[in-house]
Amino acid sequence: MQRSAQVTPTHRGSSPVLAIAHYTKRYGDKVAVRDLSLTVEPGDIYGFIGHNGAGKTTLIRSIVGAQPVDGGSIRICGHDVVGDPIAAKAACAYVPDNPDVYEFMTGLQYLDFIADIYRVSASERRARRTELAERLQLADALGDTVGSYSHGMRQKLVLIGALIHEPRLLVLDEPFVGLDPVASHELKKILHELAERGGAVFFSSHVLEVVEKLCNKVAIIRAGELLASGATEDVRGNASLEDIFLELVEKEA
Amino acid sequence: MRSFIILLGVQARGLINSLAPGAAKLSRRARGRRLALMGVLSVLLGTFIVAYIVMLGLSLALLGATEAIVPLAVAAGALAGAVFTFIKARGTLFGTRDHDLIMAMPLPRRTVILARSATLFGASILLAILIMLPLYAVYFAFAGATAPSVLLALASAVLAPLPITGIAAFAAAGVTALSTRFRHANLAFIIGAMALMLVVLVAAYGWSFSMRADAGQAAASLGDTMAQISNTIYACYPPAAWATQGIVHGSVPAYAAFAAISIAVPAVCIEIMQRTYLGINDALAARSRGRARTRRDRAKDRSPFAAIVIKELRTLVGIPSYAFNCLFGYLLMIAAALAISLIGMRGILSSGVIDGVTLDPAQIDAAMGYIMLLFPWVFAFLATTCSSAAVSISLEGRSSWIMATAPLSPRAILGAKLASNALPCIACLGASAAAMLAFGEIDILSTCEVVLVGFGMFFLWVNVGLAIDAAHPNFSWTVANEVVKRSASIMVCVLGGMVCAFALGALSVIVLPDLLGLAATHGIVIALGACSLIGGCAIFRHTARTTTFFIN
Repeated sequence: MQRSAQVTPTHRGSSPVLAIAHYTKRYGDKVAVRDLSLTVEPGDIYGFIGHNGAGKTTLIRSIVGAQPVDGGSIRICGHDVVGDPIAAKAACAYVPDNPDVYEFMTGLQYLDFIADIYRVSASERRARRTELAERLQLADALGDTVGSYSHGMRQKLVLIGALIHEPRLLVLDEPFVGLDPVASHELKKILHELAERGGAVFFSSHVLEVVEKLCNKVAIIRAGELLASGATEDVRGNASLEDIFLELVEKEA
Repeated sequence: MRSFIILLGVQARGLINSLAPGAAKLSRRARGRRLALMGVLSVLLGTFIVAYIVMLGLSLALLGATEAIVPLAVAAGALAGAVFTFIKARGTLFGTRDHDLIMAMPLPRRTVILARSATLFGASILLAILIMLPLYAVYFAFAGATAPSVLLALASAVLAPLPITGIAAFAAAGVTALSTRFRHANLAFIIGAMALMLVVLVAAYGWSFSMRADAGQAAASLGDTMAQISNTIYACYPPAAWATQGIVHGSVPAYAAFAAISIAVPAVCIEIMQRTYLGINDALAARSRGRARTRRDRAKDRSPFAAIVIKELRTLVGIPSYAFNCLFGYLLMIAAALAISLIGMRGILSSGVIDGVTLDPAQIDAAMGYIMLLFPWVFAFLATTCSSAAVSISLEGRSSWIMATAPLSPRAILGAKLASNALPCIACLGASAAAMLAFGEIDILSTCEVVLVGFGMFFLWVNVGLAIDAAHPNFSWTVANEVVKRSASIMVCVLGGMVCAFALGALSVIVLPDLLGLAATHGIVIALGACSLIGGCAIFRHTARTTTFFIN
């Protein structure tokens, strides 16, 4: 059941960055996500919350084109992720829940590799890399091989890689796990700046306080079904997001 | 002891799991069937090896060289697992993903090293049993058996491989420790280890050739030759002499010396390794720290295609077991070309090193026509063993999300992976053929055949391997060996290439020249090379059309 009354999309005179319509995903006979629809507009920071196994990562993987879609459609900046995957992927960046990257590369080599894949010019990549590495305090470690990085350092490296081509849509799966408080604070600022420049952020998280403070929109999923979505204030009303989340999840269960 | 058995159980479960890659999601029954199939294939392979060894032993016995069988068995059993251990030891002992977890457990370090190296010693003992027991069976059938001699022989199959396996593991640890002093430790390890293996290979073949040459010259009697072989084995590896004394003549002190050294050498090696274990692992983990080149920027950006090609080459250097498996063919190509160029086929044919047969110039001229037809297939076989692209998709492993989300077509990604393999392959084939041409060992036509047939066969089979890997990638591996050594894609690629090279090589050298003449046969060889190339292109087009990069 969806609390459609609370959905108030923020139209800003431009086409949605991410438009999901009737998305369905099955694993064998099991339906992981059923008939899910939502829209992410330019400037949105969209939080996606749900319990373990609710279908958050399943949807995220389909958005970024890392998993086939069984039903419905997903469009990024108007490009269908199934019909026109290269254009859709070019407009998007992904930060997975486990920041596994090639361990034999140095941080610098990894960032150059990603910049080459997304065709970022040498001067642009240098400027963005330097700025982001300084802000996330990874600059001194970029010459080391990724194999010697801690989880948090890998997370920072993947974040820099995701931002190096200035994506229109940044998709993150549990982005704050493993980050130190300084980097976590800096990441929130970076996400706000991306949204202010007209980009959009879509991320999953278990930390409801972060979602509540950071996101202007939120969606709650349970057992593959969207329970509520829309502006954060509309979804939570006068209660806290945690109360609403627990209420919805328990009621549906 | 209890800790050792628990750790050994983990190793065994890991091995069993790796025998059925990608089967983790299958039902228990389906998984059992997969493992049973692997078991049947292993038994078939073992039977094939045993049959071959029995035939070798019978040949020696029928030629009256029964006495030489025992030292030969001990020496072969001792050496059986040496190369395997040397290649595997680093991945088994050092830089493992569970290092921190295991080392944090309240277990003696010696127990950990023993449990980890048990798989190396176990594999060597298994190989030694496969080689030694059939030879002993033949020996006892011809020389007669007593209960003590049979018991000592059985025990020697377990004891013989221990010292060399211990030394090989120790050598791998030494090369690993040395390589950590270099910035590019993996590259240093690969170069050092491959150089060592090449030296062993050249020495073994050099010894083999010199033995045959001497035998050809001396050839007073077969008995003298066999005595010479036995004496050489005794001189090179005295424990073989001690074991022979014990098994053949019942000498207890000699056998005791053999047993003592078989246990003492690996014990000393393991003791030294356990004392240096933490240091080497620490050096491997921290080798790049403090040498950062953070500020050095590339002058210009690369195309995505070039970026993936370079990434694939870095993967090859970054995973030593992958490099060993896929680079040795290149090395053998260059070594074979240099050997042929420097020694000369005419020199080899006239020296009598090949089965002691000495040919006159007219016979050599006639033989050269056939040998020219053999060269392309020899290099084709070596080229198909360099199939790094055949497992390149699975090797993305847990980083597979990067390719799955990259804004590139499957054709671009697969093409770059293929190019990273094809470019060094054709460069090595070209350099090998050019060297042989420059030294006058082959003519222009054979040069073209070596390159075309070698590359054609490589391209055909690596595309078959790539297609299999793209259709069924295994991203859930924990050790790269699971993909590199035990994947269907690389097995099909190498075995298919080998069967094809042997079959078409035999057809080209033995059948076609007598049926059609040499000139027509050359034409057919070139056509076969071109057809392989076209076939490879067709398979690649199909793979690029049907592949989608997803995360499992």
